[in-house]
Amino acid sequence: MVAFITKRIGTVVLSLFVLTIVAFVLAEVIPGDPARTYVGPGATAAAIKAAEIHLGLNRPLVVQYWTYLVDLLHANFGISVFTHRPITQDLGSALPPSLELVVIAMVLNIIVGIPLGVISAARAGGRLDAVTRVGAMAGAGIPPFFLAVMLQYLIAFRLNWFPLSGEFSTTVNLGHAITGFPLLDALLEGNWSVLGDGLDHIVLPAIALAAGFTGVIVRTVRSSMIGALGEEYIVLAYAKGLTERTVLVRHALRNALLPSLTILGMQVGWMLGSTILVESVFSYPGIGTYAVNALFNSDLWAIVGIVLVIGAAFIVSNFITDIVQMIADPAVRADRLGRSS
Amino acid sequence: MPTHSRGLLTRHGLRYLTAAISAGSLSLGLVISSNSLASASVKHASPSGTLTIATDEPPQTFDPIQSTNSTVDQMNLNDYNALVQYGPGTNAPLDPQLATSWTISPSGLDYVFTLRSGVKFHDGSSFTATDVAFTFNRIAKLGLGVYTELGPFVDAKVLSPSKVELVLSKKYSPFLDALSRVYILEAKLVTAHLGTDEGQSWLATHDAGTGPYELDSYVSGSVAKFSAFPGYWQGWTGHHVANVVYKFLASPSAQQEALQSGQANVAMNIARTALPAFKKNASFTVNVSSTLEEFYVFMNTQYGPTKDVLVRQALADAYDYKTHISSILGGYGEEASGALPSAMNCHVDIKQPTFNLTAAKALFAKAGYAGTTLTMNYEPETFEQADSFLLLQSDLQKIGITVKGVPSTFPQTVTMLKTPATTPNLVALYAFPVDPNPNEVLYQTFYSGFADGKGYNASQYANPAYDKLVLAAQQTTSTATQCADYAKAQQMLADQYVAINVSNPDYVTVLSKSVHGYDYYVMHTQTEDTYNMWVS
Amino acid sequence: MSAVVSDPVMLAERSPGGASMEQREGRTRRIIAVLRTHPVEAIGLCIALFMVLVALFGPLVAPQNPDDVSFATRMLPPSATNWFGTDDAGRDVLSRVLYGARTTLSSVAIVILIAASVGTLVGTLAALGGRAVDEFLMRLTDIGLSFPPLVLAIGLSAAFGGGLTAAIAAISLSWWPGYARLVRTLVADTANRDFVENARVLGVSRLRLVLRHILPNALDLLFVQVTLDIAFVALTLSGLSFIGAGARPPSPEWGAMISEGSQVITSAWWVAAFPGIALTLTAIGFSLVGDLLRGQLDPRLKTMLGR
Repeated sequence: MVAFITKRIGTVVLSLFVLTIVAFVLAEVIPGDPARTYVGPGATAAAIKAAEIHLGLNRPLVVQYWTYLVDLLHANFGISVFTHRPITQDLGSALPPSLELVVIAMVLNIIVGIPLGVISAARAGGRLDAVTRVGAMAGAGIPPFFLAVMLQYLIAFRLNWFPLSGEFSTTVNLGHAITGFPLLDALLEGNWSVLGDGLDHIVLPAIALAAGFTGVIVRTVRSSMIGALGEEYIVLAYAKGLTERTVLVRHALRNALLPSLTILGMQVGWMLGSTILVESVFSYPGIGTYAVNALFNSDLWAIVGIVLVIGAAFIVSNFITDIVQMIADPAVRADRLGRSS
Repeated sequence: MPTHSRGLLTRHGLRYLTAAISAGSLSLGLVISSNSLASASVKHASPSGTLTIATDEPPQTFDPIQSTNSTVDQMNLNDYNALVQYGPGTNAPLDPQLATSWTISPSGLDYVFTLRSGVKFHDGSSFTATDVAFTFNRIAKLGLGVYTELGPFVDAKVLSPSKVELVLSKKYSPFLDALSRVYILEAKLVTAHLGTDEGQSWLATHDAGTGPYELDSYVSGSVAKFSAFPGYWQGWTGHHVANVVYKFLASPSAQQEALQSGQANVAMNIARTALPAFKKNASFTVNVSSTLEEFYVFMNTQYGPTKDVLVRQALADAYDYKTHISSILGGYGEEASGALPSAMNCHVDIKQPTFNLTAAKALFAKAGYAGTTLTMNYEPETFEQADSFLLLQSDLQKIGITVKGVPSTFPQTVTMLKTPATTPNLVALYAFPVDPNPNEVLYQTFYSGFADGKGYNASQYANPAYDKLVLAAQQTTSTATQCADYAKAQQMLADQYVAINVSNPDYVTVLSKSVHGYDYYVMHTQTEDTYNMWVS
Repeated sequence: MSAVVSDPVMLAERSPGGASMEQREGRTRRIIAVLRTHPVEAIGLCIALFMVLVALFGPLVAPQNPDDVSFATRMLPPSATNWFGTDDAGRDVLSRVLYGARTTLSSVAIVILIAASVGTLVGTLAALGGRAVDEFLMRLTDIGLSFPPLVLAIGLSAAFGGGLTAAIAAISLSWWPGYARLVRTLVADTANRDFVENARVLGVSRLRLVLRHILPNALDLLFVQVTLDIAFVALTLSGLSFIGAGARPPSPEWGAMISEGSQVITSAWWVAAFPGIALTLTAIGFSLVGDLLRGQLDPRLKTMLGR
């Protein structure tokens, strides 16, 4: 077991290392002249030269990579050639809103996905089941960016139920930043109007983000539940006279939940990546909008920074999910440890 | 309550009356005296309301050295001032702002400015000549951004706390006009944050100005907030807004949605097709203003098929100018007349090519380029450029010429312009002159020194005879001589078909009826004069 | 990428080589029976087949040229002349959606072809190449699997200069590890079985072994994965185009069209709606087919899914 975990950690570290190499290679290969972008058009040749030196572009590649790696360990992602600001600063302000968006989307995912999956399994083969399955399919099949555009148009614009864009109304006063996470700070300060305004703005992006994942969760929960419901101990439970709800929730669900939790864990990483497809539609100032703007402005170090941050988050969250699954599920444990790799 | 107080002439009434009169005269006295105090120092009045402006592109930086970039200029107008400045609207004169008067030496090489007194920076420090000298010398040292506007500028000298001298190495008549884009920084503040790049990183997110509004916050790519600076030297009497908020919404639809739902009260980029509905709606005003802008399709004069003047003439004949104005611009704009925008000084009417595909086809054949393929660069996010590509591609297809589109962002375009070989055959681009001096377009866009990526000479035009004309015009102060030179320059560009001169587009802003005082800022393209706007 | 199966026990129940004539006839009957009992999946199959037909023949029946610009007739709502309306440049949306099917689906096909081929090669090499090769290749695959595909594809696409070709290359590079892992498992487990050992003893060459005996068994599971992937790859590809890292205008790719349409949605909802619906239906259709196949091809898996 320990050996397995050590090996996995080894893979994680190696993956992170390879990620930095990939990111660095990307930065070198992405077309664009960083020095020129930095100074803007119409700059003198001397100014361009100065920018090249300032950005460290004139050093040999290996030296650049080494400096880059060392910088990364100090959480220094370099300077954005477009905004002239340290990318760490930009990422630092863009990441918290996205993390909050993912949290809210996950909450939606859980409170909608799991019950629907359970009910669907309990009424397997019936009308509700069919409707739920079609709904889950639709949710998983609709492109998140298309859903975002449609939600914004129909719900925010036509029906006016939620705001169109942004993180907060321009008129709210945000108060002090305690943790740097806007909604959390509002909660900690007891600033209910700000919290309400923030939640109001986060609903549509969260739905657009969560829809696809909820579809998957519904189907996963449903199939695990059906499997669990077919087991003998369920028959025994009914024979003992337990109500359907007790049987479902306390017996079947408990056993069926584990594969779903694993999937939920993996979805966190995926969701963070998917923010790129959803946030820009709502001008929600998270890492997704930041990525889209970086692409648009050929801001290559910013693009690389995003690949690194989301990549690292993905690797780490999958690793944690793996370990948790190993610890919690004896079947998986046996399976994993029995195999050679 | 006493039962016998009837009317003011009772004992109590008299007491109250006396009290009221004394209070009244006291406050009146205070008001009068405070007003007279105010005329000597800072006026205190109360701006109110918020201007929320929906605009498409967030600023690259807040550092005013990049003020030639309209997204940066849009921000700078709020929190900075210049020595001299244009007002909004067409034919606005160049007014004193931080300078109250100036003299130009007979040689044309020395400009001495007398500076306004009593001006404060946002942190309370006083504005002096040191700040002016620092700003100019920093620009020269960095050699980028607004530096191209300063021409032969060499040095700024402090003569006294209220007098500063700007020295040029050659006569340069466009110099004074260009100063409207040089925003004055607080020397002490910026020096404290110089870092390794002369303060560019710090100024990217901070404010060091004297302008009417202070930068409060900026959420990258999303929202920028400014609030009124109480100590602004021009004061706040009259109607002004207390807060200016910019919402960056790239999609015209998103801006429309924001405007209609009240989340914005000014929208800068509503789609032309949505305008009729706004015009009919009494809650909105549609402001249409002519501009100094011109839209071109530049043709690569140094490389590829377009090197041949016959090919360039053919392309100029293949452009459907009328459809561009009526359908693409929706009628908001005019056909260009030559390479110089019609509203600029020294403009002469140039006979434009007419749309004639048969003639174009014949010219392609004559040049030996029948059936050739051309590349055209454009920015897909700018509707006029994207639509112009589609129009030209579709029309040229009818005569057997294929146009391959190269959608790119502005930074990518700049990279492509580095050499004639990497420049596409056709480049869709605007001229955004920073003032009505013809130098802005005829020199900045077509002078050979700005080819090869050193500027916006997207045609890579390099003609010594042309260069001579525009350089001579810079050297003379006589308007007549200048205009004569510029007239010849315009004709030369037309004769050599250096670019397809497409349109002088109008700028359309849609505002909520509650916003007043708006006039399109012609000299500062795609910005707003927020200080003179107010909300009811 | 969703996992299909990696359970060797299940594989023991399958037969080597191809199927006989009677087996094929029986199979057809079984297919029909399965479709009858799974109406939802059957509809999915119809949708998927329809989309393939549109991709193949759409351009032939398109009423107009997708690039025909006509500024005089821009942003017209759906009507008898333009069933899906016109877009911002006066182009017929229906024609563009039909052409877009070809662009999108052929690109998806190319991605999966590349990813599956590279993955199969790597997986087979790993399974048959000995311990060291296996360790190395699988370590590489694990690392590849640990990167988020969308983000990696965005970065790679930007590195390759953007555009549809760059996006295709980028997504292929992000996708092959999943196939490598799958194929390695299948091949490794098949390779351990008796009949393979027998064949080897008889002197059948390694290559022949792989091609005639091992791979065909793996193919149908691979096919299930492919079908499931079609939806994912289509969404990823159009997602890249939507944010500007993939197909660029005026290419009639569905993601690019949705992006263009979202700019004018308040004036012309149809420009974004129809390509979006087409894309959604494609994704749903192929997902359902994948689900159906997965359910049918593996008896044990079938029990787990509760059919």
